[in-house]
Amino acid sequence: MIKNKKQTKTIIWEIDKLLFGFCLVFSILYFGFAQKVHAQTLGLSISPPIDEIMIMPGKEVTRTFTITNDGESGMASIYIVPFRAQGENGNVALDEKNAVTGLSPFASWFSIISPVTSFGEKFYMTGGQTQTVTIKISPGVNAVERDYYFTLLYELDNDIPGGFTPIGPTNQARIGANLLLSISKDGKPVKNPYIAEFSAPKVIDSLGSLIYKIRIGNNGSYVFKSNGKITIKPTFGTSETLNLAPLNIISDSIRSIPCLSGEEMISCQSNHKVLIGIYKSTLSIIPDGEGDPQTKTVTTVAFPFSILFGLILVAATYKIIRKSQKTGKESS
Amino acid sequence: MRSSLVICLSIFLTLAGLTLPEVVSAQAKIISPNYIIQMPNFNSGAGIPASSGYRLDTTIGQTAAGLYSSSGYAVRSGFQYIHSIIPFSFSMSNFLINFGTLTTGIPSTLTSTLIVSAGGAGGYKVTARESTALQKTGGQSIPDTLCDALGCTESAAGVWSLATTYGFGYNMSGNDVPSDFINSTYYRHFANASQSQTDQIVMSNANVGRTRTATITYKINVSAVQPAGSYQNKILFTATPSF
Repeated sequence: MIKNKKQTKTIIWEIDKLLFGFCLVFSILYFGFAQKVHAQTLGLSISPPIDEIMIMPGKEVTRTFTITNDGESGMASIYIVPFRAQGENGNVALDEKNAVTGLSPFASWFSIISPVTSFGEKFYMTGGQTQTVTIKISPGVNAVERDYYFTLLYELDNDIPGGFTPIGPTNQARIGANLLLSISKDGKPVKNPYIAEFSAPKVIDSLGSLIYKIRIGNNGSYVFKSNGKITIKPTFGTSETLNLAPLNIISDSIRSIPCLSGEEMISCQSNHKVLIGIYKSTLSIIPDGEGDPQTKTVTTVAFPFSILFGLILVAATYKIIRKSQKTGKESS
Repeated sequence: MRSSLVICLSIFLTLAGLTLPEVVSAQAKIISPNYIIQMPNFNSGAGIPASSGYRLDTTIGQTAAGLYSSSGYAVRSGFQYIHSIIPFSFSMSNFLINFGTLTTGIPSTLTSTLIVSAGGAGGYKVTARESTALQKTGGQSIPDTLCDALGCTESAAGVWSLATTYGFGYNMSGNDVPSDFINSTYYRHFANASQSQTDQIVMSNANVGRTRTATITYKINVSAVQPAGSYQNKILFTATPSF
C-alpha cells in the first residue's frame, strides 16, 4: 500500500516535471520565435503630414514630428529636401541634389535638435518604436520674402538577419512630411491666383451629369488655399452651391481642384438628377478667404435628348404595331 | 501539479509581458487636436469651411496681426478640411527578396505588398529606384529587363513572357498603380540610380486614401552564361503625401 502510494507520488512528480518542462519550452519557443513570423516587414509613419509655417526673417520656430517604426528594427535618419510641384494633383518632386546639407544655401536655416544633432545622422529605431523629431527653422535676416518648400524625409534601413545573404533586392523605405515655409515681414503676403480652367459641357442630355473641371494657378510667390465655390443657377428650379476643397496651391504651379463633401474630396458636379434648360455656373475663388473674389461663368444647355429619343422610339413602335394589326385585319 | 501550472503560467505571463510589443498604433495619435493653428491670425477665417462635423475658429484683425509681429511666426499643421491629423504611413511586406537558387531559362517571381494610408493628406505618391542592377562581388550583374522585343523601360511597361528574355524587373497590381501595367505579363525595370534614371511612380492617388494596397511582383530570369553567385542591390521606396 505504502509502496503504491510512493509509486503514485513518483508518477505525479514525473508528470509535474514533464508538464513544467513542456510549458517552459513552449513559452520560450512561442515568445522567442513567434514574432519572427512578422519578420521582413517594413512600416513607417509620420505625423503631421504637412506643416505650414509663416515666419519673419531672422526669427525662429521649433517644430516636432512624430515618427514610428511599425516594422523591423533598423537604422533611421532624417533629411530635409527641397521640392517643387509635380503635375497638377499636389504631388511633390524632390530635388535630392539640393538636400539640406552643410553645403546647401539653406544649411543655416534648418537644424535638428532631437533625436540626433545633424541631418543624415543615423539612429536606431526598434520595431514598434515611436520617436519625436524636433527641428528648428531659423531663416536669416536677409532671407528673401517668398515661399520655400521642403519635405522632411524619414528613412529607415531595416536590419538584415545575421548570416542571411539574399539573392535579390533588399528594400528600403522612406516617408515624407511637407513643409511649406513662407517668409514674410508683415504676415500679410500678397496672393496672386488665377483661374487656369473652369469648364463644363456646353450641351448635355437631361439625364446626364453636369461635371466641372477646375484648375487654379498661382502666379505669386506665396501659397494660398483654393477657398471658393461654384454657384449653379438654372432656368427652372433652385440654385445650387458646390464648395471647392481648400487645397494648397504653391507658387508657380497649377492645381486641379475637386469639391468637398464633409471631409471627402469629390468630383465637382451638380446634384440635380434631371437637368432641363440653361444652367449658368459661376466659379468664385477667394485665396485663403481674403480679398476680392475672382470669378468665371460658364453656360450649359441641358436638352432632353434621351427622353425625346425614348418617346420617338415608343411612338414608332406603337405605329408599327398598329400598322401590323391593320394589315392583319385587312388580310383576314 | 497545481503549483507547477501556477509557475508555468507565471513564466508565460512574464514572457508575454516582456516580449509582446506595445500596442504602437499609428491611429493612437488621432486624439491630437484637429487642424492646429498655433497662432490663429494666419490668414483669416473667412471662407474656411464649417462643415457639420467641425469648425475652425480663427481670429482676424489687429490683435492677430499684433500676435504675428510679436512672436514672429505662425504655424498650422495638418489639412484644413480633415477633422483629425492622421499620420501618413507606408508599409511593405517582405523587404528582403530572396530568389534562392535560380535555374537558367526558368523565370522566378516573388511578391511584396505595399500599403499606404494617406488619411490626413490630400493624396500621395510612392516612387521607387534601385541603387544599381543586381550585382555580385566582382562586378558581374543581372541586367535590368528590357522585356520581350525591347518593349519596356523604367517608365513604360511592356510584355515579358518569353523564357528567352532575361533580366530583372517588376509588375504592379492593385490600388493606384500606373496604368501601363495592363496585366500580370507587363513589366518594367526599376529606375537605376547609378545610371541617373529618375525615380518612377509605382503608386499614386490624388484623393484621400486609406489602406490603399498594391502588390509588386519581382521577376528574374537568367541565361545559361550568367555567372553563378549572390546578386544583390537595394531598392528605395519613397512615399510622400500631397501638399
